[in-house]
Amino acid sequence: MLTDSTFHDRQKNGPDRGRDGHRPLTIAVAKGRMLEATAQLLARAGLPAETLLDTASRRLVRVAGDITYLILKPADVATYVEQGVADLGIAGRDSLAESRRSIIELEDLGFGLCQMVVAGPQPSARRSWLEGKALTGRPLRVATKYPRVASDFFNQASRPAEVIPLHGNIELAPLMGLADLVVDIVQTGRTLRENGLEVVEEIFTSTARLVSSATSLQIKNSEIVNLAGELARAAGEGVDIAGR
Amino acid sequence: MKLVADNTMSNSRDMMPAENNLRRTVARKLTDLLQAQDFREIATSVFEPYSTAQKCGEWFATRCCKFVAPSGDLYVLRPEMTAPIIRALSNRADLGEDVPRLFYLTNVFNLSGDGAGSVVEQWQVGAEVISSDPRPLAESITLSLDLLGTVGVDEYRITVGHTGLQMALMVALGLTDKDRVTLESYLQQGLYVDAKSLLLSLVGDDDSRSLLSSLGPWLIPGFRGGLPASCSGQDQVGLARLKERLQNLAAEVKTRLAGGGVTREAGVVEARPELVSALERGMAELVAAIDRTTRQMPPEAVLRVSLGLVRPQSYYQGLVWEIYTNDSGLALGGGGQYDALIRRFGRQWSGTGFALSFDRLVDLAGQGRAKDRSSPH
Repeated sequence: MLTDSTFHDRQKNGPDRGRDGHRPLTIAVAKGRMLEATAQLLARAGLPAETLLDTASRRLVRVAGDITYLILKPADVATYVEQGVADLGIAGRDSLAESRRSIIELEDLGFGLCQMVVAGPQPSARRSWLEGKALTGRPLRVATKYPRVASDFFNQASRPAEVIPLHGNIELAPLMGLADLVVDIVQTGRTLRENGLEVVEEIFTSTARLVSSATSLQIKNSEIVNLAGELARAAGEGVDIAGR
Repeated sequence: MKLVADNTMSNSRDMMPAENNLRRTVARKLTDLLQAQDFREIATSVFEPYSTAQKCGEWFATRCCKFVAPSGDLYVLRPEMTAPIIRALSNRADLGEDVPRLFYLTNVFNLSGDGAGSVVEQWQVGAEVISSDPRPLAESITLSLDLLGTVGVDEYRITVGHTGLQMALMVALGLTDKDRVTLESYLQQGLYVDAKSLLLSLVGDDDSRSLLSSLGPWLIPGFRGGLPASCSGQDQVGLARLKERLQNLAAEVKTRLAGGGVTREAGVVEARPELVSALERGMAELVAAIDRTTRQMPPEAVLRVSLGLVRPQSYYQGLVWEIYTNDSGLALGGGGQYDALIRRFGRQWSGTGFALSFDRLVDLAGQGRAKDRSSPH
């Protein structure tokens, strides 16, 4: 069984070609809400992915044939890919956009659909957004788990804003007066509605993306291009699109 | 008085004697090679006027560490070396057209790309070939590979592109000026999903679809499953196949430029015969560079052609290239032709140069990949 240390040695020394002359690939996958859909898509594309569905295991490195999976927090997928530890990664556009890592988005995999939005309490949020300032006239305060996305968006929208980074339960911030608006991802919008918030602007639509580094795309070009094609085909067949 | 630990800023490190010994050894090998090829060392001030960074383009202007001097002038810690060298040379009235071949081995400073705001100090080794001869000098590419050989790195990938050919390709596909700027931005940021969406939005009929299938993979590796044209070092058969593919590409693009006819939603795209000579010139430059480079590369190395290669520096025009080694997902370095940058400093020279990460070369040498070589071949 490949332990974490032998896995690292294998990466450092350069993997040999496996069966069929193909080079092994290391794929970083995001744990959490997208993991099951990721595993299903990988399986549809012909990869051995059952190991990802073993919820009893706490192993972070899982080997299946010529594929090594790294199970990571979504925010870390881009880092492992950029640094060349993983050849490929699968994570949501939201976490990739926030990471600002130098990676290449190869394919839109279609699942994990959600929207990155600006939202706030009814009825004040819409006016605050349109006027670009709080009701009292001061600059907007925006709470978010995505401070870089939020800063970029408000700068491009020419709305000066103080961005307040938080780690969870973002909807609470405007309810308790910490912020005027929030930037967050929404799927059905139920959490926002139940907390008296409404969406005032959509920033972008987020779905799962397949990413690679410039180096891996060069060194394992045929393997990555072929796999990307298989995943795109499997995604086009409607695997777990929307709501997962 | 309480003593406070004075840490260096993040990503800038102090180097103890043992580490410095390895760095000196590697530096000596690199500089010996460069000096043997008649390059002379140049050094510039760490502090550059902000105007120099602005001439490098938006990417550098937004990623450099700025500060205001007591005089009120805005300076930066130099974010790279090519522009400072051009600035320094441009200020020398005694130079005329006779510019020496120059190299440097020094530190540069950028803000980290993750938006955290930390200043990153990196050491680079690079060379600039500046002259009155407008032909791009493919020897810059082979020189950058020689430096890899000096520290024992034989297995690498190099991607070569050409900005003039890139533009010709985009025009042949029917992109407007605005589309080209957008597509370049997507390619530079690695947003291939958005780039593909933009190209697919151009499809108006079967003819356009066919053209896109044929030309698209040259811009975006893997577009509709197309693999980039490539060739291993010393592989004459592979080189001949690569040249044939490039000839076919040139013929197809030339037909479109001369005759127009790509159908977009807005209508049929006009012919652009004035771009044909630029296409032919660019293709000749690219083929000459590939020829020279593949003959010098070891068999373990692979060269790929990607006309979608967009380097962070906006001043490149003509040949561009990047080099990759498997110690990191990021390119080890790269270079290109930068006549446009030199014009921004008011001079009429032609220039080609490159920079490689000296820090990573030291790591690669220290990982036991270094062999005791006294010559690059």
